[in-house]
Amino acid sequence: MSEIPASGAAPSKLPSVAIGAAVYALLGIGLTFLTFRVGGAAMYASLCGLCLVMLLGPVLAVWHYTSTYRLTLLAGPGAAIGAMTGAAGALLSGVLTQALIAIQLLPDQAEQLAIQRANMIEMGMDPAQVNEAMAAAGTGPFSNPWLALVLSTVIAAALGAAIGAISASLFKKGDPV
Amino acid sequence: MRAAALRCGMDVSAPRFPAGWWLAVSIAAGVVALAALPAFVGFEGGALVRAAFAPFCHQIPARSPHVHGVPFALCHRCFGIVGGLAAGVALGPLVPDVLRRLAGLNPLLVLGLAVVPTSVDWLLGVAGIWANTGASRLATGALFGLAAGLMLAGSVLASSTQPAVHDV
Repeated sequence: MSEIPASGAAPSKLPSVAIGAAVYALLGIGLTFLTFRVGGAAMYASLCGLCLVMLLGPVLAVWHYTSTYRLTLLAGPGAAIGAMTGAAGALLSGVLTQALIAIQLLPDQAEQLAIQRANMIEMGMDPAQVNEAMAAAGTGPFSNPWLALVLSTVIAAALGAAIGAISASLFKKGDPV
Repeated sequence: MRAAALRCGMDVSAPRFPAGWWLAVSIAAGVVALAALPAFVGFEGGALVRAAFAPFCHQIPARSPHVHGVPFALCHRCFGIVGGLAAGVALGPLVPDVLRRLAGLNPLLVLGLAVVPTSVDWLLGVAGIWANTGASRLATGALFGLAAGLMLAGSVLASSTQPAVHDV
């Protein structure tokens, strides 16, 4: 447990945000690796865990902040921590993923689509049905992954804000800030 | 409604729909609209939105809601969760009795119970005991989202009447 600054100002949120974002990014990359490099049951489990990673980062950041300083967060500061954690985690995860693709530790977009197609066929879908579904879904190599990363970061910040505000009501430790 | 709020001890002098609530509703509804967007825009726009949601959901077309044969950017379960979240936070100020009762319960217990139906639906499917359907995935996801949305509304509405000790 750390002391609250004598000035009365709220303690810095950055360490908690950094921890939440790091966990978010590392788990996200781990699940991506399991999905595309391991396959089988690990792939199925990792696909279902994608949204849990999104949940865990902001929850962990709010828990760390309230536990470290023995505070109760109001919804606004909780949402701020959640939004910052979601955005930083998504950005870090996206940049690291692109770096791992560049050094060929993760498959590029075209190879990812081929793996997804093979997985759907393995799940029992007819190949023609898979082609039709992927065409209807607009699943083709997206030309600008960095633009998608910017939009992903905005979505992660929005969802992180909601999760952070909810987490604020889960972890009540002391005076409200 | 005002009488109900008085009975359950809420501060009726506070705005019924504070700015924080409007922001929360806008964010949740915005995510729902964005997830459905690929079904209503062209190939390029749809591909961008799908790529943006890819880190959060498996997006398997056969397990996602469709409009005119084009799937959303989230699967049934994830779309149910964000849809339920938006509905819960939007309905919150209209059901003060429910919020008051929720506030009296352990929030971890509430969320834990709300996640049981969607977990059971998923686990039975994995075990091969029950072939879950789009409707079951959507409905059980929405139930969890609704509980989370009501908790979010409760947190936002309570914060609008509670003074903070420290500046943030």
